[in-house]
Amino acid sequence: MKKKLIFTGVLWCVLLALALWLLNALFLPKYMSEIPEGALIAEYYDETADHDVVFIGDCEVYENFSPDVLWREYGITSYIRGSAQQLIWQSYYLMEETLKYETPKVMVFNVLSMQYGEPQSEAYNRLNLDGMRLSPQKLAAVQASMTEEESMLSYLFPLLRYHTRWDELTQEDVEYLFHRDQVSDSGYLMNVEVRPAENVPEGKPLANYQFADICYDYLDKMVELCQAHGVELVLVKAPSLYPYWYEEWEAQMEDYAAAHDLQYVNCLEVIDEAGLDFSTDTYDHGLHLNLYGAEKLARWFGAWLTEHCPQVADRRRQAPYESIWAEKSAIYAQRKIQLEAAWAAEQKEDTTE
Amino acid sequence: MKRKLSALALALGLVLSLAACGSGGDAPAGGSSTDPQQNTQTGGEAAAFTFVPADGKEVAVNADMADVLAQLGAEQSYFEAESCAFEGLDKTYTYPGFVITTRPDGENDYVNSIRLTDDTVSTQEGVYIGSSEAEVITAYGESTSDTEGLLTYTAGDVILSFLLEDGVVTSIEYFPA
Repeated sequence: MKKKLIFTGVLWCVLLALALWLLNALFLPKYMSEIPEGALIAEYYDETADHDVVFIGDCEVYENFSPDVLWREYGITSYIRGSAQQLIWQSYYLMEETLKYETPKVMVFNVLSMQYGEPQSEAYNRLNLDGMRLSPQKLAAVQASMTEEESMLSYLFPLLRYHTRWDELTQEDVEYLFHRDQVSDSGYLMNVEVRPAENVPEGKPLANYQFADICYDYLDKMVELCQAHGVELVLVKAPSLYPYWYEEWEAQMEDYAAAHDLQYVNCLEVIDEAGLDFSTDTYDHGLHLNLYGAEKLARWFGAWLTEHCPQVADRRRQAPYESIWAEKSAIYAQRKIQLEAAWAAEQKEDTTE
Repeated sequence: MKRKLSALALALGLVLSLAACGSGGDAPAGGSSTDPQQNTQTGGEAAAFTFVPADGKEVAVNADMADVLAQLGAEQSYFEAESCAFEGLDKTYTYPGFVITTRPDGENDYVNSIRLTDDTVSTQEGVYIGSSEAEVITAYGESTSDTEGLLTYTAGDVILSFLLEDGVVTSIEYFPA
């Protein structure tokens, strides 16, 4: 009798847990047809081989560098662990988490997030953190990122946050209950649209140009973490024209890189050398590069990596990379064709209206 | 069996009702109310600080930009920036002597900041780019700001800030409190 009671109790607990797990999966936003940026972080866990270069940072990495070009033209295996408005502590914990899975030769960190010294918004936190697997790094990232209204519990049990979506659920929530489509190419979020950069405003004067201490603390931690794992940390500033990158910020990054013996590349200074043309190579007036710009920048950066980071090897004709990247390149090429066709159709529609 | 099913339903209901108490507002992603900027106040009491361009037309922070455009006419130059990931454009309208930025909220855009860029315009109280710190304090009193080189004043739902370099105003901006 006692055994039966225990069995029944356990069974009901399992059923309850299963029901909650299913509800959690149902209510969690899927980020497939809308806001694909929310799907980027989780896609990394589907990777089957390691990478020599891992990019970490905000939209300035996942929109501006094409890993496919790095592979095809230099044999560099790379992945972008980027997400929208990724804050520096989120980058740090993603870096730490990445090192649990692999030890790249180079970590490339985009420094734009040095401007944010405190949590910004829950909406962006969710895009950056919900996709992380449960780990000490995720818990630490959540703890560091939460705004006043957020709770750790809602990140552990997203149903607590998303149950109000009950009247927004669509067919997509059922279709992607147990799987997701791949929205990126090795973390790169492709966009082929063209919207020239015009009238980009100068930065407005600031009362204080000094980056916050907490940002330097996390940058120090990145340096230490990479040193401990024998990984070279490279700092970059992507060539986005907006938000404005102040001279005072640039000086701080140059000083920091020099003081810590790091290589730092401000891609705003190599726009011409990389062949970037902001009348054709941006999809949103200079904030982000489109595919054509991201390919040009990757071409330039691949050459830079080859010259300045000789530990990054050419993996072409090496197993398993050759076959893995052949498949990745095919998906990339197919996506490019589809997006270009959609963009051409949209333009045609606009001209006929 | 029926009793057990009821117990399960009760347990689920309890969890969900607790969940309902656990957080307020709409889901932050996957829906339409995701733009972090949409939480910014757009209404509220009338702004005490307003900007009056040289031609006597008034621009207020939080005003509907459509109304402002109707008053001011076409801008000298225009720039729009899409928020990363979320829908909605942050827009920048440049006029001679000042720049207006907007934030989206629903179908409309609202004035998010007004920044004076040269000495051809001034605040209603007569402070302009190039005024001295003493002139600012004479016009507005002691500032509550504890940041060096920055004087700020709040009236209603608007902050008026003055950046100073070597005791001279180099930037003037109105933005929401």
